[in-house]
Amino acid sequence: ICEPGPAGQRRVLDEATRQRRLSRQLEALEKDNFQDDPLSSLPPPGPAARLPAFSESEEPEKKRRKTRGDHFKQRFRKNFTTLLEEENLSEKVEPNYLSAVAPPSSLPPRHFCCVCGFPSHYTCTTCGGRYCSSRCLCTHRETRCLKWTL
Amino acid sequence: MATLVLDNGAYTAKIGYSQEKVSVIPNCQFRSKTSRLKTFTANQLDEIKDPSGLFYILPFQKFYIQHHVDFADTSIIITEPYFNFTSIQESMNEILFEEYQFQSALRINAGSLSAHHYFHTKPSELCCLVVDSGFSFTHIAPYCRSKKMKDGIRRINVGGKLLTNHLKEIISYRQLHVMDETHVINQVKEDVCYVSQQFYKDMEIAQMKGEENTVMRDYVLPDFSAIKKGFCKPREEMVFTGKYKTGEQILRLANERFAVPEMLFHPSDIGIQEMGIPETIVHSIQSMPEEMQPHFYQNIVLTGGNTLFPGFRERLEAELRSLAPAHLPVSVLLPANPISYSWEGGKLLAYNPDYDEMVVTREEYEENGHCISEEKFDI
Repeated sequence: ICEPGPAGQRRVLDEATRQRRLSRQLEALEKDNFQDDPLSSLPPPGPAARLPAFSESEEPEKKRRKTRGDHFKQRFRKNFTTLLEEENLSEKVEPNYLSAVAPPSSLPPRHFCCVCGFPSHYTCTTCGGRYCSSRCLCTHRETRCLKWTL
Repeated sequence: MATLVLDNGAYTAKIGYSQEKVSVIPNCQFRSKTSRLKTFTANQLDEIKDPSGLFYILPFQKFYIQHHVDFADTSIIITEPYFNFTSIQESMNEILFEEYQFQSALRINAGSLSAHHYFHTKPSELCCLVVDSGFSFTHIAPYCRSKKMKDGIRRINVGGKLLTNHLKEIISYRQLHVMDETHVINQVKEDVCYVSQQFYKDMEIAQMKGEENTVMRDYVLPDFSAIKKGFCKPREEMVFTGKYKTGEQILRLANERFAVPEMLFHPSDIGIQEMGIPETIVHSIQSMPEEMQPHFYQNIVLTGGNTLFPGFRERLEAELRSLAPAHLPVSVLLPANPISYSWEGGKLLAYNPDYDEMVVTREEYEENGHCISEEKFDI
């Protein structure tokens, strides 16, 4: 059985910091796992790579296709947030992309223990994470509470 | 002249000729780390169809190599999300007409194709509400007489991607580090998750120990040598106390099974300040003229991959029943194949007598530029 420890020694995060941490976590959930293929600059595998290209007509065609693809990639390097800013939607007439977002719910949010996922009734005093029992609180304190800085 | 229908989704592309059947191909590029071989040469799209021309070129390349498309003689129907950015729309025009030189093109919302399909199967209905719950987000769009009602369109920023990422996080914290295994966990989500009809009751059952816990399941992870694809262990083979004798990697899932899809109904569970699907539907319908509202409640169509969770339709109908006015009947339709429903709508649209007036031909584009498509398409 672990002891939570005297309350006076732990620092407490204020509401703004807690909000920032939450936004960070939500952003992480939106990521796409899209990575530029690190091997794309290497030559393609297979017999084509081993044999040198003999015919003159073949090479320029291959090069052309590659540059065409690269050209598009360079031109459209902008990511989603840049595009969103460029659209300048606050000046556009409604309805638009931003106005179509669903409004906040009128029902109160439900809270779940950040360790086990079951409904929680208590809040960690330092970071604001929810827990359901003292055992989950111990796990939380050891593993996650303030473990990474914002 | 052949018509190619392409439902361009962030997760899969549904593509095929209007005379043939649809192929559903993953819209992303897989590279295996060891062998540098391309398994699928389709390209991954960003959340809202990032206008990287590259992302569009490759799916067409491989597919067309297989199908020997004659661009100059083909018309294409391609889908875009609601309120797609102007810059992306313009890039799309360029790609279709200048890069590929299609004879004519129609850019349309996927929901409009679904609505067209719905009205085709139920000609007597005037209004319908399309719920498209896909990879990137969920859209609720009311349609009246085949026209979309822009004021009623709502977007919830919760989609399959969010559900999978959340599942990865909680598994990584509670059991096994899987943050890199998007594809495997996506499979877990599709095999094992369901929508609960009584959330708190299922939570209580999931907390029980041993055999009484009917919610808990063990999932066998693939090891890519003996087990190529993960699967859920049937209940008879589960060992409740102690460890398994075989060397397989097991994930034990209890409340995650139904807590993850619950995010579609309550995004506030993880802190997203938006209404869930049932509330948004009611909100959208209430913004419509009063005489139309009963018609919307009776014609709700579900499309998109997330609607395939077992129990989704029943739960949605039950929640709507409690939120909608008591005197109005509520009817929710889950088609036989929600993923290709809008593609099938595109196929029907290609045979529509008005089709030729809806498209923009290459000549029109070359003469007038982007503004002609802005007028005609209304995305």
